[in-house]
Amino acid sequence: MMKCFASRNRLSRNRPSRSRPSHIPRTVVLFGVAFLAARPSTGQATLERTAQPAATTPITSDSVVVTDAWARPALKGGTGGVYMTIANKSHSVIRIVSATSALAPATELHVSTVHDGMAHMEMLRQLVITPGASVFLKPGGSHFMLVGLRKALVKGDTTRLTLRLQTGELVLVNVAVRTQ
Amino acid sequence: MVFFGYTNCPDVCPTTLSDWTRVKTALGDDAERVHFVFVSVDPERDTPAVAQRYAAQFDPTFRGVSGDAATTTAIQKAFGVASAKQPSASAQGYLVGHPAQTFLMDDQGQVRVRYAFGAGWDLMAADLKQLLR
Repeated sequence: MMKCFASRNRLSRNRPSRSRPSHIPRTVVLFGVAFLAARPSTGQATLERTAQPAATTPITSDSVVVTDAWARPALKGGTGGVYMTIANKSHSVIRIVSATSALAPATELHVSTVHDGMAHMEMLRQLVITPGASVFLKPGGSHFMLVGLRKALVKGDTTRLTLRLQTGELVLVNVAVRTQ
Repeated sequence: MVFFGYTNCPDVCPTTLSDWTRVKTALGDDAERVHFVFVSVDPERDTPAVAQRYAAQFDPTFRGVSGDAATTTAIQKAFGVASAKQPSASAQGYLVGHPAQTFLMDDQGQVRVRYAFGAGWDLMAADLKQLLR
């Protein structure tokens, strides 16, 4: 009854955003287990540190380099998606175990998958990046989810996301709000 | 153009509606002849007003609609698609698995093209231009 253009489906896999020099290496495993259960207290602590960069915990990292962090505009009270490229410049495995934003009471890591024409999301417990590898959080794939936005994400604005590594190290990320 | 999604979706839905804004721009004046409709498959949380507000944030002419559960199911059935609530530990309470395609329908109500997620706004715009000729 309905036409389905298989060639288009194939084409879609070769769009520019999907043909970056490297895709997520197979060795980068995304574990699909919730990490939020213990969140409220750790989130609070992270936010306090964010507000006081002079604290002893480093707020930047030589081993984690984040580029092209961006989010689409979203309504107040709604849900935002944040994308970025995260490179592991170190010689050890890096695990990003949580993220916080002053804009949302909950920031979660999710991955979208499209299978048989259906889009699904799954919450991830952590993002594991092997030494020298990069992960690409991008539309239709992994993303940070800002749940219950306290204010709208407006095009042209910049907001901040704090990534927390398993080591306790925090990485501050400036996120540009743009449409694509 | 028809897409089934939910307003708490931060990724596939906004990506699709964002693509639509580029389709609309590419169509120029012809865009007036195209309706862009976002159908919520999460009527439990998306009231008609919420769905409309969500769609309109991308473009004021985009329409967001929501009905009761029975209507939503019937519409999806007519398109040969389905959706499903997914329990999740997310602060959202639950997630929703939803069709990822955009349906291009003609003015006779026939589906002419079904675009996979990520098929590209340029393909959609090219097809619409041809159909509107």
